Amino acid sequence: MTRVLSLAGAVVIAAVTLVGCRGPGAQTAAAAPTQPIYFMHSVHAGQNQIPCMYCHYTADRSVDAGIPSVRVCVGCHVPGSSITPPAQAALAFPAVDRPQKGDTLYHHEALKLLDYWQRQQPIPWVRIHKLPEHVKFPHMMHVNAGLKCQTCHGPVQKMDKVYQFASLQMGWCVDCHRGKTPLSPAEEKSVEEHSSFIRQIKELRQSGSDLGGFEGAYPKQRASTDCVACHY
Amino acid sequence: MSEGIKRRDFLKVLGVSGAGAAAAGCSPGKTEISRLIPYVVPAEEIVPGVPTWYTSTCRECPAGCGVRVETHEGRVTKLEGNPDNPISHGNLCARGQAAPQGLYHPDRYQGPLAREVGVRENTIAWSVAEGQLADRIKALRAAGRGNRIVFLTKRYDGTMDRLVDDWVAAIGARRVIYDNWKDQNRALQFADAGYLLSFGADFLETWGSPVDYAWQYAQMRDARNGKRGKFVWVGPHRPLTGLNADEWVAPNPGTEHVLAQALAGRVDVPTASRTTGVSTEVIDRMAREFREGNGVALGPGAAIAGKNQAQLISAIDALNAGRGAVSSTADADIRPVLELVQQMRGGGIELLLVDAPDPGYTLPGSVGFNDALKKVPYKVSFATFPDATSLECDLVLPNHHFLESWDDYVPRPGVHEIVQPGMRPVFNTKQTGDVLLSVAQLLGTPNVSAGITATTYYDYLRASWAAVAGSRDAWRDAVLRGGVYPAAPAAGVTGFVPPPPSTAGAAVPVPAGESAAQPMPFEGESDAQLHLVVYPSYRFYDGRTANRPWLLELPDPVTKVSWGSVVEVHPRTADDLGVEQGDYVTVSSAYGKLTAPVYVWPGVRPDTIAIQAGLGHPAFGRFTEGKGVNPNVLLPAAYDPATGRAASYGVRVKVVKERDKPLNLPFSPVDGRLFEAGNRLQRDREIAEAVSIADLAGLQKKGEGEIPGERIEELRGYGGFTPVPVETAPAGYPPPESRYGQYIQGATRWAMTVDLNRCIGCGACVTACYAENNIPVVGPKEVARGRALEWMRIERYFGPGSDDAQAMADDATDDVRFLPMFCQQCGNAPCETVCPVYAAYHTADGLNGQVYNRCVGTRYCANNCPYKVRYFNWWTYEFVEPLNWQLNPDVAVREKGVMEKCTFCVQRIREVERTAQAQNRPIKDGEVVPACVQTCPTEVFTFGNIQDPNSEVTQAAHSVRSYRVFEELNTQPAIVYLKRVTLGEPKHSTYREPPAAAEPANAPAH
Repeated sequence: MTRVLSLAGAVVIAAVTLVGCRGPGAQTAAAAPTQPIYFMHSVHAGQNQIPCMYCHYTADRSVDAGIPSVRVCVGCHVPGSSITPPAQAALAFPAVDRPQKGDTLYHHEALKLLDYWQRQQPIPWVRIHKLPEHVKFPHMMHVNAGLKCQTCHGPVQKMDKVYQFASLQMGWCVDCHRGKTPLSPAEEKSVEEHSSFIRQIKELRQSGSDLGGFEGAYPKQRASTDCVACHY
Repeated sequence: MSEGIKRRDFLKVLGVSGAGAAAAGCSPGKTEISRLIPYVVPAEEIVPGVPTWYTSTCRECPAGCGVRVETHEGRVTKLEGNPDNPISHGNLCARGQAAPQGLYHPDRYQGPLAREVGVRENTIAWSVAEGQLADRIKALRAAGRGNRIVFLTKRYDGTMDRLVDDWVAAIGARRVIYDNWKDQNRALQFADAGYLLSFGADFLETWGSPVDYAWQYAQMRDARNGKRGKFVWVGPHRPLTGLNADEWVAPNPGTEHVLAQALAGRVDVPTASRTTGVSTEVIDRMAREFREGNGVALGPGAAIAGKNQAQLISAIDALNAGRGAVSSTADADIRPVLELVQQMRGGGIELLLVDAPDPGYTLPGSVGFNDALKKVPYKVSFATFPDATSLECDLVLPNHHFLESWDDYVPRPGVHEIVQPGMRPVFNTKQTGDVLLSVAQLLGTPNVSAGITATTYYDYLRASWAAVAGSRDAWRDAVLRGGVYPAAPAAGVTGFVPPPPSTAGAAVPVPAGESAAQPMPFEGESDAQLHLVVYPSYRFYDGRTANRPWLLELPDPVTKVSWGSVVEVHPRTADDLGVEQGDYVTVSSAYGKLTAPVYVWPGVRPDTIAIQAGLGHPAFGRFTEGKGVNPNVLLPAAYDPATGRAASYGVRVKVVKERDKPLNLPFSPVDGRLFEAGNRLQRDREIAEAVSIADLAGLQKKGEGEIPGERIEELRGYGGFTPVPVETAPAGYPPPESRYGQYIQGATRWAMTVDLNRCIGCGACVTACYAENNIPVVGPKEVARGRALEWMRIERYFGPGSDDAQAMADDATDDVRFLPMFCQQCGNAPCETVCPVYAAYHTADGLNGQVYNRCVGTRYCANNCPYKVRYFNWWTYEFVEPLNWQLNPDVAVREKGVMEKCTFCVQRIREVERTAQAQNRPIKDGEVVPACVQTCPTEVFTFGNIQDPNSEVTQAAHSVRSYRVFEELNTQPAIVYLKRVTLGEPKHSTYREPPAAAEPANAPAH
């Protein structure tokens, strides 16, 4: 009896799991989480046209895109203060440095930033894009291949609150690797130039190697879909 | 339903887990919020996601190997050898690999403690702790008893020596030096020697400079022009080094020096033969071969250092005359410590500071260090871990781990190494140098701080290096290289230079010829018949690394026992004692006794037993407590009167059977795991093969190098899979054009060669694999069930006879073969075809991929693997905080129910692929270096792309010595082994049926 119940339980739990969740995050603007500071990408990346990599500074050289340090924020919002960060919490900013209403950089949310900086505390941003730990996603490979950030992250420059744009499910990754997801012509061209996979296939074809059943299946394949390319 | 889940409970569980699953899976904003924590001010050297490397020096033993420390986001994750360093040659041993586990050990002292011994301990602030120490010193000095302060230290061989001397002089105290095995020669050169003679010196494990010596030994062993160096081991037992020897000479216990004197021509051969029991032919041959081979003698090892070791040392020095190799005596003198213990016992010491290798544990039990310690009113320890000594101390001022410290080290003349921190301190510890300087400041009086003007130890260190690397740039260069080495312009410097090591100590007086031929007497009562050998441990040294879980789980290279101690006994002796493998015996001497299981094997003389040092700690953290025994309790406080060196050799013990072996051995089944049960024998399977050096020349002449060429062609097929026609194969198999994965002809195929002639079986690769691949430690019970997750294991096969105890007893087992066994990355892999979920599959670059997130744990693959190199996670094993800080972020951590195995460190392959793509170029040969290849002290492995005809691995695989394990199964492994080269005929280790039942091995199938 116990066994039957346990089995039934397992089935029910599995069912709840399957029905209840599809993918790591909901993909609507309404589902965007509330952040500790109402940071608007639409203002920074859209209105002010700050390049993504000004803040996400390691996206082209690391697997991680990089979260801007508090100092990077303060660098713009409180010009000059980032050079000599306050050594202790007691060391307050001179009042003149605090943005006032009417200043270009004033926003009541920006005052929260100053609080973090004065306390020398990191801002605990809520993570939106999170892949499971058994997936390795190297940002730099994709950025250096010429993909635009928006291709995967959506029109961030228009988002007041950032939400997860793509499903981030494996099929979504694989579709692009197989060349089934359309890219902009510029991206397409750049990927062709940079992909070592495409280069290797070209070389092998030139040397007359037998490419097996490979060519017919996905003629526009852009990158490896080998499991161990991403899972290890 | 008396047990198990009741219906109501079941519903409760269901409700909670259902809700949890729904909440956790769907909305990151609701219950389980994952946070991104940015830097406030970014660290200059850190790029998140990209490792930062620092050069440093390993301080796990006195060898001082140069290392590179890999850090991720400010946390040390791995150590690798520094290729610029003349001592490590870019390699590292298992102890060095396990150093991060010392750094992140959860049972480290986490801050200064004030202790009422046995009553309570309070965590205090550093300022308070230093104040207490300063007050004590002040009070004693005020009372005119400053001379009753003693600082018991190790020999630092660096700037710390100067600081301690200055400090002690300033407060009017006294310094006593105690260190273990610091006297061994760390500067010998024998790579080109034709003959190597070791008197109990386990130079591949602990003696002198093991990583450097293993490297030199491998060069010596390489067959060149039909010749290779010969290595002879002299001693009553065979540790790993002895097991590697071409010949084992075991003189009567206590007569090793007589043999050495005879070889040096100081004792006539017939006399020596009578005393030692070694035949005159053997002695004559040894003398001849030593002379002709331009031989080098090493020793004496700690295991056979007895009360007359001066004679052995002087004979070894005589043998080495002209090689500039002089054994030292200066630091080995144990008499000052024994004297100190007497004074402590008599109440003559009022304040004792200890920064020495756990004297309460490492000194012989009969010295009674800890009893004497109780007589000292105030004891201060600088220990990193709660150990036998520091638990008795009133004040603990925990030192940094070396990976958190700035320091220097001079392992041999001319080599000045820098210890650089890899990260900020894990706990609230403080470097001892800084504590001494702070206390000097607190004491305040000008005469105290005279000569100690620096306020931090780093400044003191820099001042110390002014002569070697004074300028900012020179210092920076030195730090980047890990130190200043002989090739660098270090000559002509003036001022203070960190003192050279003490290897150039006073020469030992040559004893008179008459006494030279006298055997060393062993002490013991009449019923104590067996000679005791206590020998250093490859894994634990003198016990200082005995709490690293990786090292505890690493099987001993010789006995293959992990997580415990054994008493090594000869099969004939075991018969006399009436014990079998695993039975418990009590070993007693006049000084103490211990109980441990026996390990029966012919690597000890029948009149001798051997016990490894390093375990049996009364306290040393949770992993070590209750594990093994401490053989030091059996030893007297003996020393050699001529040199004062500790003498552990010279006791007879009584051995009595205690009880039968338990059903579940508390250590791994002797002689291998469940997977390889009984595999001291190969039983005709030709796993580890050998070829004699004479046959090797023959093979080369006959041009039989064609065979390996064919092997390579096979490997170059589609993803490695080219079916070889087999007559008995089913019709239509394999189906035409059948393929798995994206096989592209001409693409990379990763392969490796393993040179068995170089492998010493040490297991550095095993520990490196643990460190790189986040392999959990399963603990003794699971190891005993064969569940250890060693992706890489060292199989150890005894050459001759060996199917029964008597045969082993009569044979010296000179033909011992070590074989690293790991996933063979088969081209035609049995594991892949049986996986129902495609988790085991073949990659385009010829690897046997294992997709952990796909695996459902059927274990079919492991069952079907002929090499038994797939490992199953029976549990989700814990990485105790902060040991989990060491985890490699580039590798997924596996959990319960998942099969795992070696993938040639695919994360490193991928990383190199990315770098190459970023630079728009193909991968260079030798660019991908798996962790095992990187660390191997003897450089056994060659790794690369077998499709590239010019790659090193292709060249290496072309050797006439090449073969593949279980080739007859048509698995087409990508690992090509190179046969071990024996000097004589390889002794077939195969199991021979009695002649009557014999059948030719290659009989045609009926």
